[in-house]
Amino acid sequence: MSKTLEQKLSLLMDGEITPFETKRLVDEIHTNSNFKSLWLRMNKHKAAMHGELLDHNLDLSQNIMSQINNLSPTNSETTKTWLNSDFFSVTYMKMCCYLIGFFFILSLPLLNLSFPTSNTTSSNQNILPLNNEALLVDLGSNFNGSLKDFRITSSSSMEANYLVPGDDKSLRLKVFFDNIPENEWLGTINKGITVHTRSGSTPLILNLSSETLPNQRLIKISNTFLENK
Amino acid sequence: MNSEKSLINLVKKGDKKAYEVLVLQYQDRLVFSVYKFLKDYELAQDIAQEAFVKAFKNIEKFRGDSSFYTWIYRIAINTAKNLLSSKARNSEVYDDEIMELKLSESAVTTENPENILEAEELRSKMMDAIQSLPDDIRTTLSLREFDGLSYEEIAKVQNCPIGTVRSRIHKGREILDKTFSKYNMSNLEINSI
Repeated sequence: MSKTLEQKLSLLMDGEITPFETKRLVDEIHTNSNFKSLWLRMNKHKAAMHGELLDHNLDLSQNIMSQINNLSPTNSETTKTWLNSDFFSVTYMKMCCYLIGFFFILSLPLLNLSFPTSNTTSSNQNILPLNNEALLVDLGSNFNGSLKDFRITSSSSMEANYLVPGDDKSLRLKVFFDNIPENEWLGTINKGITVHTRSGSTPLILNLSSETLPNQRLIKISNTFLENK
Repeated sequence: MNSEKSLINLVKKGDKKAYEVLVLQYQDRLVFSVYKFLKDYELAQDIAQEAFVKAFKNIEKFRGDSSFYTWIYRIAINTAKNLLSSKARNSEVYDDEIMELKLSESAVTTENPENILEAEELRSKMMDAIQSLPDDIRTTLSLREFDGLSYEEIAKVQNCPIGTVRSRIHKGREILDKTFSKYNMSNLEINSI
């Protein structure tokens, strides 16, 4: 046993050692039985100095460590340790991520959602496909309209029907995300009022139309989107 | 530098080896403290053992406001108190176990049982060994062990480099280890230094 290491045990006992050296000593105590025995004796001497040593041969460490090693993970409340265990290695975590991704893709048809096309922007990907309903409800709140139904018409557009309060009449709202090619959104519009606005940081093109609401009313509603832009 | 904090951090990261180092460090003190409370050596060992396991299971709750020993001491004493009160709740039936408890309770008030005498004798032998150490080593070791001074404080008090403090304390412990490694604990005889 090297003198330096022995001296470091003395420093460990007095709390005068760096975290790095502490780790090194812990490993050394675990692997070197002579070193472990010296650590045990040094602490017994300390206890004896203070009149706290009842039995020089007492060593409960084996029993204690065996009980601790037999603890099931559910019994152990050291919840953070799983991150450090071999079982939850980086490879294992990666595998979990792949599986979650795989099942998510499989579940898309069930959710009636579609992937954005490869040329969609990141802002669009943030909204479609998960937050579409929330966005529509939010847009409806501009004119106190309650969302009746909606559908995804393409990777960059949606169509929703609202009930306008007071008038009890329907309003159709076509929502286009800004990345949609102009000819594409122009091609789907044949009536109503179209405005350029944004929801948060996302630019939107909205087309409002109604079979029952007068144009004046539609203009008023479309203005609310511009005011809130 | 706080080695104990480093050890606790290692345990919190799941390093059981670091916990074993703590067990080896504090087991004798803890058994002694529980023994003073219960006056039953076998039971004190069981309680100390249970306290170490409980402390490990709850190590995430240890915030480091107190020392690890203070924390585990509280766990051990609470475990001992719970044991006594659960026995007391069943005291309507006077069986052997209860009689044992009554004896144990009476023992709490009895001073100087055999084990305490043994601890005192061990302490006395250790103090003799310390007195036999060279002056500079004895003074330095005493400042550390009995006055609780840090190495830096000792270096200031003794007007010497901190490296000298380190080597003196280590040398003192080395001499004590050699002395006590020849020590036959069954007859409490100590070899001359």
